[in-house]
Parts: sequence; structure tokens; C-alpha cells
Amino acid sequence: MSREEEKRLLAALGASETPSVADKARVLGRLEAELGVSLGVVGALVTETTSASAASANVALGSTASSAASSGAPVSGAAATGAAGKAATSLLGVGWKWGAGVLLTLGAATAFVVAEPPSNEVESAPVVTHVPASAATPADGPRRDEEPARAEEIPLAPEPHADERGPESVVSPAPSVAPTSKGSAARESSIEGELVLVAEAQRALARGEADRALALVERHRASYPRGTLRVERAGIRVIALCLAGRVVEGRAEAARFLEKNGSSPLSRRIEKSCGIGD
Amino acid sequence: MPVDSVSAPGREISFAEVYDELFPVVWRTARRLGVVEAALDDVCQDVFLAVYRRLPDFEGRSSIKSWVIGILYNVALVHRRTFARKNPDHRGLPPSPAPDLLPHPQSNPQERASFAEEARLARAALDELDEAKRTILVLVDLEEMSVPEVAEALGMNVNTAAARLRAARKQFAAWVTRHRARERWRMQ
Repeated sequence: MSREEEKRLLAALGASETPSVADKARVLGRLEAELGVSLGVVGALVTETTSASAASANVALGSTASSAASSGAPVSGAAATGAAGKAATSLLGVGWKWGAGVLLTLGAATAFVVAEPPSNEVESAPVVTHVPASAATPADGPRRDEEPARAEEIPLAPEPHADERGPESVVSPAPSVAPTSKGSAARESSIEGELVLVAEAQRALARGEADRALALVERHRASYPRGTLRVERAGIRVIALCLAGRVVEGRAEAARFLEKNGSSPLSRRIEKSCGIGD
Repeated sequence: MPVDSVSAPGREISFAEVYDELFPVVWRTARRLGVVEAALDDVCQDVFLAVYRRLPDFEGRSSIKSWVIGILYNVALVHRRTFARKNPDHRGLPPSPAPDLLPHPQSNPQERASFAEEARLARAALDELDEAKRTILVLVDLEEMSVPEVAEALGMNVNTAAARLRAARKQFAAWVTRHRARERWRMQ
């Protein structure tokens, strides 16, 4: 076979492998979510979970958990909505070459998915994030109006390198606020503590540090055996097990997880990570 | 090339610029390195997360493209290994026709078939190469990077990279020749 022929074959492989704008935007949305840039979304998660709508926390986890860890402050859903646009424009604190429209819709889509049900405000926002839009429940809508005054508290730009703080600074104050009281304040601080651990576990996972992720979910289990984020904990654990190569164990737990939480946003990732269903 | 201007010395590189310019490169190279469709988003995300975190440390000694490709190489390696372990019988099996095999609209059906067939063949041949050889072949012959650039990205000696490139081309060609011979034999 000649070099020309080799090149021709490779060229056939290479043709039309260019990503679409949607591909680029989707991955960007995931990055933004992972880095916790759309800070406002945190509030939606906290508010939702403290109102015993724990299931909807699933929705927000992927995109907000890390920002929860870095901001540490519970914010209201109203702020989430208001901040979405600004967060998008200050995305990563750098000037993007893209049209602002793309960024705005991206930011808005990410925030809205978790902050409130689809409304006419977001009709034009394409669903480009990995967060399933359908999971946002209409019940969340009114809640964001409850604490509008707190909107000012929200930092619009993240610390540039929040992730690079020593791991201890984020994790070690494993808040052991047990949910003893039924009072919402206690539950709020416990959810914060849970978030710190789960978010850090998820970041560890994103960095491919499966062992660290496993250690963190284990800590979550010890501190909050019946915590609000136990579904996320289980999901992260499954993914981490498979990532760590403990595939047999991981698949067994994955089967249990999927049976109980088939509709969790984590399900698809679990299936992918553990090679289930392909 | 715009990417080179990004890596001009003394110039601060923003993550946005890197993402904007190199996303397509990372995306298609990941595919060519054998990252399956389902894992493509994950791989690209992991690469750019690493880029975002490490960009402040980027010293501009290599081109930004080499640097990013080096990160991709490592990320893709992990993903491919994980995938291979989960699907031991995947190797060598051409994946189901992916969208990238979609034909050029105005070509006739026969051309389309052969085009898709060639792409499949190329993919299968690449699957036979080890990671390093595959990467070098893809980067030099498809991405048109220079051998020194690729060597830098993969953290390897230039001579080693050149030798592996030759070996990769040879192996690729040999596999295709063998495959075609087998096909002809089957047709008879």
C-alpha cells in the first residue's frame, strides 16, 4: 500500500469529524457547570432540598455542587434567576469571542433548568447542557420569590481558582451538623455540609481521582447516613468504583442504583462509566 | 495559524481563547484516538477542565496546541483503558457506522459506500496500533503536526517519535493490505 493510499484512507476517517456548534456549546455548558461558574444555581438546590423535595436535588447536583462548595452561602432561587445572565457574561472572567447571545443562552439554560420550570422567559434557550430540563419541577417556581432580598448577597464571579485551594480547606471542616432538628436552619446547614462533601467528591471524579471520590462519599456516609444527598452519594460511588477498575463491585452497585433510581440524572453517566447497556 | 499566535511569548493566554481555538482539534483528535462516541463529551470536558486548572502554569515552552494535545493523550488513554476493560471484545470490531461516516451529500451511492467502508477500514487499522503509534500517526498524518511538536506533546524524544511514526505507517499499511487480501479471498 502506498503512502498516498494510506493518506486517502486516513482522510476518509478524518472527513466531517469537525464538531458542531452544539457540541462545542454542550461541552462548554458542562465545563461551566463543573467549574461552578453559574453561582446563582446553588440557591435553587438549597431551597429545594430544604423543602423536602430531595429528588430535585439530583437535577442541580451536576451543575451546582462545586459552586456550592466555593461560595458556601445558601442563596435564593430568585437570585439564581437574576444572576444567570450576569454569570454567563462573566463566564470564567474572560472575554469570549463568541456572540454574547450564545453565552447568555448557555448561562440561562444551565441556571433555569435547576432554578425554575420552563417559562416563556426561556423559550428561546436551547437545551444544550447535560442537565435534563424535564427534571425541573414546576413546584419550584413560587419559592424563588420568597427571599428576593438576598439576591444582593450573591457573588457574581467565582474565585478564579477556587478549585486550587488545598483540598483540606474545602473538605476537612466536614460539617457534622446532624439533622437533629426539624427546623429549616439546621437542615440548611446540614445540606451545606453535605454539599461540600458531595461536590468535592464529584470534582475528584471529574479529575479522575476515583479513590479520593470514594473516600469522600464514605465520609458523607459516616456523617449523614440518611442525608438528603444519599442518592448522589450512591451514584458517585458507583461511578468511582468503575473508574477505579473495581468493575464487578461497581456494576453490582450500579444495578441496585439503577433499579431504585432509574430516572436519576446520574443514571446515564453510571451506565456509561460502568459499560452497562452498550 | 491562529493557534501559534496564541502561544506567542509574553502573551497571556486566556482559557476562552484556548477553548475557542482548540476545541475542534481536541474533539476530532479524541475520536481519532479511539474515544467512543458515548465518551467523547466526557473526554473533552476532562481535557478542558485540566486546561483550565493548569493554564496558569503553562510556561509557553511548547506550543499551546502541543500542550493541550499532551493532556488529551493522557485523558484519552485512561478513557480507552477503562472502556477496553469494560468491553474486552470491542477491540478490532469496527463500531457501528457513526455519523462521521455519513457521506458527502452529492456523492453517488457507490462512492458513499466505499467512502464509509474506507473510514471503517481506517478506523479498524488504527485500532490495531498501540496508543503511542496511533497517536503519532493521527497527529502527524491527519492533524498535520510536525514530528518535533508531537514528540513534545507526548513527552518523548524526537527520534523515538519519528521511529514510531515509521513503524505506525508500516503497520497500518500492512494491516490494510492483509485485510484486503482476506476480503478478496472471502469473495471468491
